[in-house]
Amino acid sequence: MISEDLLHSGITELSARIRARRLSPVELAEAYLERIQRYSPALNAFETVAGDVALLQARQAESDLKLGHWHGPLHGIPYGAKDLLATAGLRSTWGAAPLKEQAFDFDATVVTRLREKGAVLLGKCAMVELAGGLGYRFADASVSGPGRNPWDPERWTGGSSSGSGAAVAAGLATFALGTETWGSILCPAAFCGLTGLRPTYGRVSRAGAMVCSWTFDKVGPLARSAADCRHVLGAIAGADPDDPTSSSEPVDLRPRRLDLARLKAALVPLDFSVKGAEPEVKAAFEAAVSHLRIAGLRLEEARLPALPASELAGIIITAEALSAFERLYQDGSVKRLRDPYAPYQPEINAAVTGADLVKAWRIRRVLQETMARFLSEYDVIVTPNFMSVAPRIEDDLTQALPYADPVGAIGNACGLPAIALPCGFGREHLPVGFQIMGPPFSEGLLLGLGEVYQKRTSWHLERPPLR
Amino acid sequence: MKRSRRRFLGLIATGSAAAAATPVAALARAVTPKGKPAKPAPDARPADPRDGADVPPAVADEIRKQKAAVEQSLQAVRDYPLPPGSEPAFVFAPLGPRKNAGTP
Repeated sequence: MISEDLLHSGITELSARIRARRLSPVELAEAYLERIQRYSPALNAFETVAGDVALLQARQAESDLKLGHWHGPLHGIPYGAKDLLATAGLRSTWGAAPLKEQAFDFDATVVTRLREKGAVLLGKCAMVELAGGLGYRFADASVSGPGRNPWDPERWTGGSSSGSGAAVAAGLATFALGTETWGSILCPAAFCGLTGLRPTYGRVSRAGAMVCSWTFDKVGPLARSAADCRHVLGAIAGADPDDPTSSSEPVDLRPRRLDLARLKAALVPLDFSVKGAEPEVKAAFEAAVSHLRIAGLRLEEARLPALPASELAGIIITAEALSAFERLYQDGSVKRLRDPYAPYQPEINAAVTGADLVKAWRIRRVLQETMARFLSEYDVIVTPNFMSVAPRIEDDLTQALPYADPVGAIGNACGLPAIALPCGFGREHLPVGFQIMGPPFSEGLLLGLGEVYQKRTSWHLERPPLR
Repeated sequence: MKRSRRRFLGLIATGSAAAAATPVAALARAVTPKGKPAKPAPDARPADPRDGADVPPAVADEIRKQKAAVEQSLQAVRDYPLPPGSEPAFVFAPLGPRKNAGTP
């Protein structure tokens, strides 16, 4: 009998036991599958549970171990994949009702890489339809229903990687893959009390992933800790001939001892006097900053450059999404999406001209250059994640989350990596988090800082009281 | 204005115009390709989302709000004074002929 504690323990602990043959990958997969059966329907965590695939892969992991072949720290570790990653023979709904039966005959590169490292695919995690590419106002804009937060099922998980967040927080998978165009890894990480890593644009191959925005999409892990994210990123990062936007920048994520005194962090506070921001989140962020200072990190208050980052990001993402999902408009199936405004997006955005789009691209370049200068002065940026706790399931998200996300806009428009870390609890004992953002390909540094923070705190070890 | 907008959308869609025979397979073209592109769709036209039906007032109101938000974003972008010589954040490069292109 595998204990609940063990299912929540994370990759490092599970991997050590598997490698020492003190834990059977098959028994581990069975324990998670049982837990998924018990809790997933109430949380809408998984759209597809792949029991047969999981057990097949787990048996393979077990037999490889018996033969003395250990494929690394993910060997035998069960995970969930966001339902926009192609998985041969399994449905990939992209969260959208018109695509409920869609299936591909190949695996996304990240799924292949995880399989090669011995990870065990439990199933496809539910998500917001089309990763929010055609907009959404309510949590139920998904073929799977609203992502229900394990900390309180009447609250949203965040999106668009909603099922990935729910699955890991509820202990239904050791880790999950999510994607972020703008906020879709960091948001569920914040609302579900998880550690999430948004990699640099191009760090992880997107071959076989749904396109929401060619120039914004990133694939990354949601897990229990920075150490776990390091293991997952190490397995999926790197150049891929099937994704011309993947980077050939070498991947070196070996843990290093950080000399915090030699690092300089920009402390970018957000304005918590705005509508929707909550003082409890501000207090938790300030406590996190104190921990980092005590650990030896130099933090200097700074302001991010004032450019229309949110506006240019919105214009480019929408233009790319309207193109990516053109077929849904052509065949009329866009009307079957849950968001009632998706069919009107071409009309809503009709005022955007070609010149506007090109200008957005030109400002994007200015923003990149400005941020490159900014990050030549600072090693990282420390800033809050979401300024409030998870909204209620029935909330109009435009009302419940009315504040701007300038850091997310800049980070995603510039393709910068960020790590989301849990840092306490806000109203009604719901998780809150903060983020550390860095220059391109600084994932190793961000993970290292996350590990430093998580050695001093235990927020990432907290888990929800599932009923 | 509307006409040029449609033409513009047609232009930016060119890169992903490949579509296969069945609706489900056709959507696969929006997946970052791992194999050969499918054949172009023969005669595809955008559907009218409303199909002649009246738009409920609440929906019309929200559409107006979303249009206003787009206008606001556009204003910010149009008003931004670009430094002289500003290039876009992407680099175009001609692509030479390739043997064995794509996934084996």
